[in-house]
Amino acid sequence: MNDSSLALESSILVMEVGETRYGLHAKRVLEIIWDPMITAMPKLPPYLAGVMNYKGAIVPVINLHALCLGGEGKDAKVCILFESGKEILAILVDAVVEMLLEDEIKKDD
Amino acid sequence: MKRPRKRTSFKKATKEKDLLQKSYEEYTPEDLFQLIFKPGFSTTAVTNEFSGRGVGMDVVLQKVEHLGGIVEVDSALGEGTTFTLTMPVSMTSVDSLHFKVGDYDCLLPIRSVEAIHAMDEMWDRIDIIEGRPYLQEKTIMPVIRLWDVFDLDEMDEEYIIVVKGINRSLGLVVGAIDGQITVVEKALPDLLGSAYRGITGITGCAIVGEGTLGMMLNVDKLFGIYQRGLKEDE
Repeated sequence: MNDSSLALESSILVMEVGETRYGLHAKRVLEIIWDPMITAMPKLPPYLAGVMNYKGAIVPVINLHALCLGGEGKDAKVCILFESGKEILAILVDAVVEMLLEDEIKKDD
Repeated sequence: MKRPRKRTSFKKATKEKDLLQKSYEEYTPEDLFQLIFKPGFSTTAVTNEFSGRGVGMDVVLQKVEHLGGIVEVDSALGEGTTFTLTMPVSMTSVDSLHFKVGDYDCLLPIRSVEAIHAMDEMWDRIDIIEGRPYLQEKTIMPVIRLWDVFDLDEMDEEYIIVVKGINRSLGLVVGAIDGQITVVEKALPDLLGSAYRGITGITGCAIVGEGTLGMMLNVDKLFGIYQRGLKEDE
């Protein structure tokens, strides 16, 4: 299993928001949390659910459901923490579907 | 019964990694313990892709030292090992007043708090001048209802906190007061930039309970919000 880190390198985490599926490079994902402790903050736009504490850093939580489909995004309950450049971001999605390994990924032209 | 051998001896490991500069016997135990932190040092005979590579302790030392701390090791054969991590008290640890505005946990540095009054006792010291409330203490100062700042519905006015910024004071009307708490203030993420700080008065966050974050307010930012409110009314 020495190539498992290599497989992770090119795997994609598939998640669901409404009827749509989105992918995120698995190597960027830090953690998936099913019961995130999110602190709401005043005067945020609807797609920002608030902030959370991840290992001492204050991380903004983006509600991907509210961002993509509008509304309050109450269906989005699964929290995915990932690295975006130097920042850590958290997104709320409806569900995590699967991990796609490299050889399962077919790119549509 | 003989256990399967999962570890190489400490002595053998130091030689394998060529870490010794003199003979093994010349080292004091304290010096030898320091070898644990050398990158690549491991006594594990069986490694996998995650552990046993001699990375972890090196990282621990680097991180602790980066924060200005130290790591001490003490070990006795057959008894156990003690790792002592000593960290400096952070410069950002702040004695704070913890209170509620609606459901929000809010914090103010104690050093900017001058007085706390129950709202019930203060009504006769509050005057409305040109439609805006002012409190008479040692000086006359503007009063801000924090739920107005946060765009919340009106709620019970329980306490008024007299706060002092740079050469000016403010009265802040808040809900329940939870008491004093020492917190480590964390910066807000870049996504909540200076514009957000300017409209909410919030400049940081800190852990106030189990997983709950409180919002650190800045008096001068709040004063800016009050002044902008005056201009908008003109």
